[in-house]
Amino acid sequence: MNAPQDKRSFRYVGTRPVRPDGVEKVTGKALYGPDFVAPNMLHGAILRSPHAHARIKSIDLRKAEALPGVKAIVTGADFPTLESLIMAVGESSSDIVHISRNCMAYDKVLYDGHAVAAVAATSGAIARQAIKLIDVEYEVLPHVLDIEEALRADAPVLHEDIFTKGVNPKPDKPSNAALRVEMAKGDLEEGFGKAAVVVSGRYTTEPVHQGYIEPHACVVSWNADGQLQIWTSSQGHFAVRSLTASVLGLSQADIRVTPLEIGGGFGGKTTIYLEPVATLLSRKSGRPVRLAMSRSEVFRASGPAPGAVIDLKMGAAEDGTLVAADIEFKYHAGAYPAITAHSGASSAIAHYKVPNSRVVGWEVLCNRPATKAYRAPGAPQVIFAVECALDELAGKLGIDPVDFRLKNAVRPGDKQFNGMPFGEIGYAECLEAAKAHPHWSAPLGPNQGRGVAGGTWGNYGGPSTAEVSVAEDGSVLVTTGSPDIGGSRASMAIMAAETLQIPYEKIRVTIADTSSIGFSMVTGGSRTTFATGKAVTDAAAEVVEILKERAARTWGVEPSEVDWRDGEAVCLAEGRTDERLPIGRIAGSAPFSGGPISAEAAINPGGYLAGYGVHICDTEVDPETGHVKILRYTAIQDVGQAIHPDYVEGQMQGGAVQGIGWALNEAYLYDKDGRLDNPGFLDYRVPVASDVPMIDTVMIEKANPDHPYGVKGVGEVPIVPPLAAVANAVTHAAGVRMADLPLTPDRVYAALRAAE
Amino acid sequence: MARVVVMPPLDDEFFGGRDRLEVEAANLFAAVRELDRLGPGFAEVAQVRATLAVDGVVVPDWSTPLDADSEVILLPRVGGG
Repeated sequence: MNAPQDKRSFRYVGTRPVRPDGVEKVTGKALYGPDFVAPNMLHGAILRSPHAHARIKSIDLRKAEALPGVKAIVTGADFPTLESLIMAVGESSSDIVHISRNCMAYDKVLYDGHAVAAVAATSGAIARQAIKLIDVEYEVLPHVLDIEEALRADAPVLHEDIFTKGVNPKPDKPSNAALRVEMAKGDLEEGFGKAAVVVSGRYTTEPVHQGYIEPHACVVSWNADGQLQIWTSSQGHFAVRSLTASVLGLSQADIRVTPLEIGGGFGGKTTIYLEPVATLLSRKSGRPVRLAMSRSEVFRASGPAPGAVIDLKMGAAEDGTLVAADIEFKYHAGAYPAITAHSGASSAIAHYKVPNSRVVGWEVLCNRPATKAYRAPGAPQVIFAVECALDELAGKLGIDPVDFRLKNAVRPGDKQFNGMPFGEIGYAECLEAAKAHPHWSAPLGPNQGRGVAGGTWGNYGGPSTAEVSVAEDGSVLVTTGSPDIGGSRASMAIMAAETLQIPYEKIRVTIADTSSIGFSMVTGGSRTTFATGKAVTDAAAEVVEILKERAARTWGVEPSEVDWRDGEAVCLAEGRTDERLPIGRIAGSAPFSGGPISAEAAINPGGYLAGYGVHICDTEVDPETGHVKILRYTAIQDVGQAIHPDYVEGQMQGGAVQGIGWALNEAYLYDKDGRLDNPGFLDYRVPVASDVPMIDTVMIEKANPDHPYGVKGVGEVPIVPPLAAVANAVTHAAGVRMADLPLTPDRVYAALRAAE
Repeated sequence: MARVVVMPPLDDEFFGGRDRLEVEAANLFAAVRELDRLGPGFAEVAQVRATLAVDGVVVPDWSTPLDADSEVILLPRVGGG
């Protein structure tokens, strides 16, 4: 079914009803990860490495075991020895050995905060006391935190069994360069030869944490028969099930994972940290065990987005046509290989037509927590550099930066780097909207500057299962396996309401546990409203067909003589066109017309489309302190059809604020020994409400023709443009190019003084 | 023979740097098996590391039939947040 071009034909899609889970959340009744309590539950604590890189020589548990109240202790020796196996983790993949070792170190610790041992005790205080009694003897090894230092020949190598992937021939020595990816087309020399202006430079960004408010937490209850239950907050409880099963060598059917409400994930909760540890503690103790990270543990041990070093050269012809781009970026991988270089390379200039290009990406291992997904993983860093360079090119050519981008923007039918044609994308429409927005032409005062930047993310589909069932009174239950991160319960209910043609309030949505619904991939990659929404729509459409058939049986007519309008069956048979059967009456007599009414859809849809965004930012720089104030901010995005516009706008605003934090404040600070100095929100400064103005949003609703309601996905794109939008604004306010993030006051002040 | 375009880094990692291949295959499952002959080890990771497109369209269903003149593009899977 293609999306109708006229969105006004929708009754519920595009409306803004109250979210069905709202009351529970605002009244504090909703159960998040750390809230869950099981009867007779033990409390766990994890001993973490104080060293950035060290060999574990021995672990003496005797004093801890002797402490009254301690019921179980586990170390890496309790984990099964695994063979290397590349497993799906959300949309991407990881080696299960690395996932296991990241949950609990075995022979080496690879970063400050790496788990070394865990205790379950009758109280949290006893567990915390017990881990202090564990005596670990380390052989401290040289460590490396910096990307380029990690690539030096004399750098300490983290893994003796990791050889650079993506190079030919395969290397014969292990390396901290985990992956190299190169995407090239055209002739760079010829391209730069056509350039009237060329800009080049080095740009850097720091690793940043996703900053979710809710820490990682779970409760695990192991039963004597080998079955277990896990209650946890995550972006994908099916992923928790499969990864935990693989790490511990268990059958997936023996593990029932119940999703709790999630207090933010942004990509960082698509993996596991605690669940196998709690499982082993529960198995040893015979009691349920809760593990919950403190804020400090979240910062020290859970994945940030990679920092980056980006070297770039771009050229444009006199008329503003981009002719060449040569980009090499290096990303932190952290302690274990990641795969953000793929997405960085494929996103870098994906929103522009550049006939001659080379994009080389590296992933570099270092003694930091293993990097994990964070909205549009891999895209913001390299696009920061590209969008700053475009700003410089436009300036040198004397072309309006939005016009410059418009001239080079990809449009439907243009070929992607991989040769595939773009579908109904809306980047040009975003740029047109930016140009027309009053923000773009508003006057600026002294020490103020305006920046603009674009960005893209490919979005995704992926497997999803949904069930739609009709209760006896005609109300409807929608069940999915997709955790609700950003209001997807409401979106699912809206799409079901639209399909069934019944009021939104008659539909309730449940996120079922792994034993109660078929598989769904993680809620991530901006896929859930698209893919799970399509599953819901398909199941609801099947329910409509069942309802029509039941009405036909009741009336004694053919199903083809029944239509479905406004939530009721309408008889089309000659002479009976005034007969109606509302959904409630059909449902009430369902046992007598064939049985309960429900349908399930299990799909893996294609047809997803990339999203695009353009952000405009005004800043004011205090010349005496270097402090940057965000004065005004506008986020424009090609969102496809907005199912529930409030939550689309919320994604755009949230992404923009996170990007502003990345640009202005956020960074990990390590001491000389590689210990994290700022593992808390007081010292790791995410933006708070008083730091940002109201983020104005403009939704460009260019429907996806391959989704029943035109969905494209919105959650990733809005974190891509802010880094450069802010940096370009500060550059114009300060009069000096700001190429290193974050733009902290000391850094801006130093740049101002240097430019004098 | 279906033409196969292999995107980086899968070309260097599995196929000795060759990014243009040809396989005789009735569908994508068969194509992956054939590609494994050309790049041993590829089939083992294909489902978790690759996305396949046929004639310009991403195809999640690998039982999709291939024609003699089909173009298959092998893309690395990209993980979102």
